[in-house]
Amino acid sequence: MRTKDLTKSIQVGRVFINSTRWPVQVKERTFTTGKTEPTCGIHQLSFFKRDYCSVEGNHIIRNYNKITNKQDWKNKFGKYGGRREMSKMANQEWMSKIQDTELFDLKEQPARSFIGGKWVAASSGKVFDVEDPGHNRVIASVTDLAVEETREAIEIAHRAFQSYRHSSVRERAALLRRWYDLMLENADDLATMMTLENGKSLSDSKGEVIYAANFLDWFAGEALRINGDSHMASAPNNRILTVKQPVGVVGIITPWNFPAAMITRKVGAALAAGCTMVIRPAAETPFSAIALAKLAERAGVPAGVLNMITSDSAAEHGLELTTNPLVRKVSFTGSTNVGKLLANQSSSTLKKLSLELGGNAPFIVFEDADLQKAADALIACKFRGSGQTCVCANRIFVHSNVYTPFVQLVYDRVSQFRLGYGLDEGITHGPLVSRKAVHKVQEHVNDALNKGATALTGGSVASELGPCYFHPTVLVGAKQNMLIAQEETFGPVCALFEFSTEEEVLKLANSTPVGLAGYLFSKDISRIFRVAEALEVGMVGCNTGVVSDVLSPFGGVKESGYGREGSHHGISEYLDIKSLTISID
Amino acid sequence: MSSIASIFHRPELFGFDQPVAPTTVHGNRFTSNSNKWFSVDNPATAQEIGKVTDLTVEDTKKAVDAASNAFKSFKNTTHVQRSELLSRWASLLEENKEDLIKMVTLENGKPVSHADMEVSTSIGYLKWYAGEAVRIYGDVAPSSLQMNNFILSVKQPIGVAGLITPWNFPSAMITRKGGAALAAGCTLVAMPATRTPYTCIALAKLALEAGFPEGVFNVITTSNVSENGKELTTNPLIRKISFTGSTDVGKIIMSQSSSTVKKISMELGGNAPFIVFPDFPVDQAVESLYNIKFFSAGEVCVCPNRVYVHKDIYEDFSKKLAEKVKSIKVGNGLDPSTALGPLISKEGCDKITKHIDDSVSKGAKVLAGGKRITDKGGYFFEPTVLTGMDQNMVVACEETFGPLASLFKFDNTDQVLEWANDTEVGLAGYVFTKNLTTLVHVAKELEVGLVGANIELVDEPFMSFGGIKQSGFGKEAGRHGVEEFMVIKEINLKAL
Repeated sequence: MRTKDLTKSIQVGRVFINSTRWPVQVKERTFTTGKTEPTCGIHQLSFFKRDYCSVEGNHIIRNYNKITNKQDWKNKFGKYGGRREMSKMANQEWMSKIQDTELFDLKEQPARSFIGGKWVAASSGKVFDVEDPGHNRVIASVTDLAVEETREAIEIAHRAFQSYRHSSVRERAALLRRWYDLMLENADDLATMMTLENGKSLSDSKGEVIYAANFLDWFAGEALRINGDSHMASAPNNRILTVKQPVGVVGIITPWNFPAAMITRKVGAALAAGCTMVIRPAAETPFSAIALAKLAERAGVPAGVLNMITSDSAAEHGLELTTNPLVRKVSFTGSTNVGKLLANQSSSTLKKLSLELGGNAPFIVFEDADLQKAADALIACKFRGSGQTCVCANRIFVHSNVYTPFVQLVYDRVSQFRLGYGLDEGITHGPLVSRKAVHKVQEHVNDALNKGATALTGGSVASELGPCYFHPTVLVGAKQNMLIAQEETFGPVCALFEFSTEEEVLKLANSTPVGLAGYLFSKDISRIFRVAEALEVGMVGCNTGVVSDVLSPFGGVKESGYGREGSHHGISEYLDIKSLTISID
Repeated sequence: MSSIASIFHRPELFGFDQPVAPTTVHGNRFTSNSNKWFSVDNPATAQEIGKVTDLTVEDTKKAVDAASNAFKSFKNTTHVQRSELLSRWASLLEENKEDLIKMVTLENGKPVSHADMEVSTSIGYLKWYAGEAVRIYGDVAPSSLQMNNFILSVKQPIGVAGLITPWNFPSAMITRKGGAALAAGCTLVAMPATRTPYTCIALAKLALEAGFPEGVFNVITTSNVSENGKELTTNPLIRKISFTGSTDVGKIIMSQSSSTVKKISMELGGNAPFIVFPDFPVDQAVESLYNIKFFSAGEVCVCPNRVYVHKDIYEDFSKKLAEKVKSIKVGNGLDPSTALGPLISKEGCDKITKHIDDSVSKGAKVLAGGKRITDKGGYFFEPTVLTGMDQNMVVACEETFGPLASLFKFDNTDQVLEWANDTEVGLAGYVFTKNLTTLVHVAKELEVGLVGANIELVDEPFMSFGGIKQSGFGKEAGRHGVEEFMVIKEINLKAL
């Protein structure tokens, strides 16, 4: 294990860590409750941007919870430190690329949350900064709501539900359709901002905006198709009807990797069903969410129906959304660990849950596959959003007979990538979302290299471009004992495993606790069915690298969560079934 | 009692306890007032099995009246009751399976092993429909007007159904249609083919024993199917006609039914293409073709009529098929070792002969069989393999309906698809390939209602059976089977 002299890299005060996870000796830790407890031995600590700690000698002695102590640090070291000046410069640069700055609530700083049909700032005056991972500069600040304000938003949503639940389905459909039109009209600004806050290339962003808008159009149609059943009853004089009704207030918690699509996929269904909602977007990418709320407002969504809260702390607001009894349903997309936490918290009030969690997608290339097609599909699947999607191939299993030619095809394609700032012309792949993400990718790569893998290309941070850029990487000789086989990398690392039989690869592919997407390439119809049926995942791409489609039910099995989004199943997640038994004379 | 009657455990099921077998109308044994009868022959011996009462149009009217009266109460039975009745009927078929198998073989000629499969499938249909009866769902649609109204769509039995069935599956066609009609809550008048009335007589008797109320299941046995059929298709009390048979008769029935705008289901003739690509193991493909082509003497509407084999495996395929076919044991179906029984009639034999003569005159070669077998008494024909077929031959555009495998050679997918679809009918089609792209492409492009992809089975209770083009319309069994006997009623319900 490496050890490090911390005094040289960490100073007392707000720390901007440029390295992660090394063993440090921690004498004591102070928790948010104020309780301090001694610790012993080596601890694996992770430092992320905006972490606060103090260091004494060679040892970290306190690891403060970043939220509760943030104000203290700000009082001590100034609100923005030296970074404010830099971000102003950056502001002018990107603002010129956006036509309608009002769309992101940027007429005045900070950008605000949308509650009860009004744009509101935190009463505490707190804000948090949103950084552009491409240039590591602050884009702008966003109001940082307190939990009490989220609670208020829930109450407002609950009041709005009393009338919105009675809205006609035709109104809902018209609303969604107007919102869809507005998204398309503002597609350029939405894509630009998405690239700014997420880092993905502009072409990826444009693709996402269309994909995201399509959900609104789809659910506009679904609103008109909330069908129940009529049944004959066992007793001759009875008739049974089933009707579907909106579940109530929905808490929607979304990730940064699809800043727009994850919102529309959930919100579109909820609105169509007749639910009201409180949306909490990721702190990394709140501007896409702000813009969507603006457009929803312009489309005429009634006040209080759609509420969007911005906050730096995911945990506290997540806790409120999952424990407040007024919330009847929580839909979350994000990591499996957080998903488990939310499920646990939701259990106290038995909320209905939809969880779209992490994956560890196998991508299997059999010896009879069309290798060119498979390689093209792999590139699209593995490197979309620089590998930061939950359906990205994580483990690429290639039959030993075609391993070498396939690796060559992949290598040829990856070497044509153009890594760079997402808004620049011709860039195919952008930075990762954060330094934290880069560290995880580096960790996976280092682990693989240490255990015998070889990097044909990439394998390191592209520090000449910035700290969040990672060279697209092709690893050969990947093995099951490597981290990359066990965890989702969520980065541009294409790790190629070799296999020789169908039984073997199925065993390997399924030896993970998660199961979201899986891909297989073969021309043999029997094998395709055998393997597709045996894969323990919720979505299988057969001879294609794309499983995301508005029309296809999206969701996982095992620890990738439950519930389905999109398709005709999507809306049913937001509906309760009520059966009416009617007796006639 | 005749000697034939003695081979059955329950000869009275078929009416052998009477000099002339009666039929079932209004829950009673029914014999025509005209005292007419017709005789039913065993195609394996060309000798009489027995005599069956020959109903007149007047009798048919009575049967329709009986069904119509019974409908008034039967439509109000619960789905659970109907499900139980169907289950009981299925159990009775099971109990009397041996007798039914023997009768199917006697009147149709098919080997007992095939008759066994047919009766088992019949039981499968009834069990399937027993489950379907309790799964008749409607919808509740949202209304665009107010929140306090529902648009309900409920399904109700259409009324009296007329079932007209063929001789090639005396048991399966009655149960496939009758099970659906009864599950839906319809009453019915069934008219089995003149050549095979006994199985239907027994099925109706078992339905009565199962507890179906009188008048629910009526059977018309007649030698005059056209007059009695016309009564069924024009009688205003009948609301639905379900017919399985030839395309020509189907057109007549449809035309007759139009006067009273009856809902119709038609399962008509096919001309099934059977396409084998070179990447598929030849032995397996030969096995599949053999299984379906010579099943029930090839008198099956989903039998492959045109076998398209890719040129690379054509020689191999035809040689192996011919070898296999030469070893087929032809004989009386009651002999358990028989693999191929007689055809239904002399006309059946004549049609094959005509098809073979036409093909040979245009250049085809006979690789196996090719002739009528005259020394066995009945209507036997040698199982035949023809090679060198081309699209100008009669077989290419007409269903042979016999044990004749006609092998066409093809070169590429586009060509074979063009040939396969170059027919007015479209019931079943088969494609054999391991290549996914080819399989999906061919399955999509084939203009048929049923595709066997790497399998020769296209007919089982879970599948919705039915054709397109001039093979008819409507589906039987599967998820859509019962729907054919139901009407959807929309109720816009407003709460005041």
